[in-house]
Amino acid sequence: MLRLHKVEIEGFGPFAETEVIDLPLEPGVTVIYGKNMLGKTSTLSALRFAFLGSVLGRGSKERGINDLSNRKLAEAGRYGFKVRVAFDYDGERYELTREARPVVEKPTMPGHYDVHVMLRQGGNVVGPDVLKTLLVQILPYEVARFFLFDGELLQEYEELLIKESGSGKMISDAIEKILGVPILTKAVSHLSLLSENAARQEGKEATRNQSTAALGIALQQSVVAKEAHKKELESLSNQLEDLESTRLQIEGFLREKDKFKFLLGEKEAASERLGKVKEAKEKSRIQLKDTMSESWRSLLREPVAKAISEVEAEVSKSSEEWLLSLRQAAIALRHCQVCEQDVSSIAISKLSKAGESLELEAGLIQYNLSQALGKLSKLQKFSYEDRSMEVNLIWKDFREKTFEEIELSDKISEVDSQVSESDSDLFLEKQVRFSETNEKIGVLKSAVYQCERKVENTEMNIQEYRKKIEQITGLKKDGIQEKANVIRAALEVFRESVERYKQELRKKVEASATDLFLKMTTEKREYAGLEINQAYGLNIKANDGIIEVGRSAGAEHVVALSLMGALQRNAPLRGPIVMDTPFGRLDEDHLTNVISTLPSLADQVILLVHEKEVGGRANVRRILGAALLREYELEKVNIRHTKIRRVK
Amino acid sequence: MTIDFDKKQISLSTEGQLILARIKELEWFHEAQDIVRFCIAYAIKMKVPEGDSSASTETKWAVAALDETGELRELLNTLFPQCKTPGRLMEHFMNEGIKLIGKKIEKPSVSPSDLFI
Repeated sequence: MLRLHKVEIEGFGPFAETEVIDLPLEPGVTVIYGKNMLGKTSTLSALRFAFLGSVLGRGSKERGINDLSNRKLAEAGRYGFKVRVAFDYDGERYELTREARPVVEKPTMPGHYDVHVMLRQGGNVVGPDVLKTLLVQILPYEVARFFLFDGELLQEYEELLIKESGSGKMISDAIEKILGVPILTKAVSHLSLLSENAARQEGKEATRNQSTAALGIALQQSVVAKEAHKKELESLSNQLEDLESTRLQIEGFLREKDKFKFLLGEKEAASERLGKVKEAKEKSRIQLKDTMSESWRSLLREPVAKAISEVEAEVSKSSEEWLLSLRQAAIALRHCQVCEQDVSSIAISKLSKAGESLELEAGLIQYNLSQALGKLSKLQKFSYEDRSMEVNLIWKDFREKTFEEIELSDKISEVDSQVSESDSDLFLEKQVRFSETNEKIGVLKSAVYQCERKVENTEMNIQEYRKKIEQITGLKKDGIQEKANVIRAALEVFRESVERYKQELRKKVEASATDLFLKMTTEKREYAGLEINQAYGLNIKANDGIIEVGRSAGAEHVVALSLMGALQRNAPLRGPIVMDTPFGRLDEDHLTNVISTLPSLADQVILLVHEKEVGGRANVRRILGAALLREYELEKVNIRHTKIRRVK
Repeated sequence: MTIDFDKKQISLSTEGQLILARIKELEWFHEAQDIVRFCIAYAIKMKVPEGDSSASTETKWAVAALDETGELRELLNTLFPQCKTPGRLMEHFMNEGIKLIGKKIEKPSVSPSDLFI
């Protein structure tokens, strides 16, 4: 079993100085808190670099070594980095140091670095061959995903449920490796070789006897043919593996770019909307200009209204004066000039009111009245409709369109900055390559199948020839034939045992995963547990036996974590689980359950999280209790320098 | 005896030319003539006293072109009966009005509605 004791990181990622993480010896959980972009993923990457010599970026793409050197040190002209890990493996103490040293003054490419690895076993440095063998044994590349992973990797386990999925097959092969199955399948293949050798010898022996010579030659030829078919099968299988690996890489790229496809779709929608908004904005602008160009009249509303009021008063006064002048003329002339009638004495005395006198003569009064009426007519002719409200509404609409235009333009720029034209071209190219690779895989699989049939058929011929030879010569005790029969029988028994063992192993993994799943799920009463398929994919089964389809990302994480823990419980290969931000998709209740189950997943669990993800330190401490052994935090010095501090 | 000769062409002051350029940038009006009419009306609304602010720059407009129907001149005659030179009065109000609007549009987030307050 692998157990980490100490990790030292120097010059790697944001760690400008040597940062040390001492890990407790007892089983339990160590938590390292860190806000975004402070170095949680870099801590995980440092471990990956130490054990595997490589670091994965987003979309599981490998990152260049030149990207990993600390930038603060690079500014000072210092390049390179080192990671040292002290650990126990199967009762022995080891210290692994992997260092990247620049070979040029200013390295800009992976090729500008040399990577040096040193492994001490109990204090003594091991040779390069032993180092290679040991590292493969301690943490093989294919199984590292079960020990060092982040939320993005957890999502990949749903591939196990998809038949014919390239990455699904890769994961299930890795699971079988961690469970120790390859050793058994290799033993089957060795027994098969022994069986073929025995058959070849049988054939040779049979050629010595005249009655069986022809059969002996045929047997030998069949054995040679079978060897040739097996070689061809191996070659085809290797080619298939390479193509599947290529497909996996392209799949990873396309999955990452799928997000770009989505962004490009958003950009297209935003561009279309922007066109419409610009058009509407232009219409608004023209409307505004039309309205403003006539709005000078609205400005004159008050002055004109005031003037009208004044002139109306003037008209009223002049009218009164005019009436008075007519009355006085009627008194003086005893004759009304309006109705052309004589005015009686009684009427005159009524008309004569004491004190009424005119200051102006009648002609002037008439003139004034006529002027005032003229003025009033001109003022009333003037159109002064108030368009200020209209201007206000049009302006408001114009502003809204302007803001929307800015928003949409920003959105389009943002997408453009993420997706360059070359990315789009590359995306198309990869899509084409993905199709081509899929086609080739299809052809190869067919060829592999044909080859497997050939191997089977030649094997059937071999057994036929052997039976006929045995019928003619009879079975001799301790003879070559008996030896071949024993080997053959052993091969059959072993084959069947391996299949049975794999079945039992799957059932054990299923049982362990179910146990962990029921601890972590919030629907303990509704779910019966997990059901495993041939590829170690786990389906959620309800109490009524129906399988849950279309799982959420949160459910996927819970199932993937159950699988991790189940593998730890059933595999000969065991080690720490180091998780980087794995809880993003979990709700509060699931989060509590998952955190409390962490100590059951593995003996040593190291969690890299930001506090919000786990509901705060107090929450973690409350849930884990004594199982929480140690806490660290990533402390920001500046954007290019982080320190790791132990929390007391 | 002084004879008041009225103007057939009115001219924008140098300061007015600069303000006119700024108003044009706002794109609130179709043409410069629309802006001029607006400035004249604005000055009247803001009770700018009658006067004579004669200017002589290359930015000129024919009074008849600004006031094709004669409506504006008639209004000026009605509102300001003492003034015998409506053309000069228009020029005066134009230059005073554009100065007032120039001050208004100095505000960073000015809107057309602000000119009606």
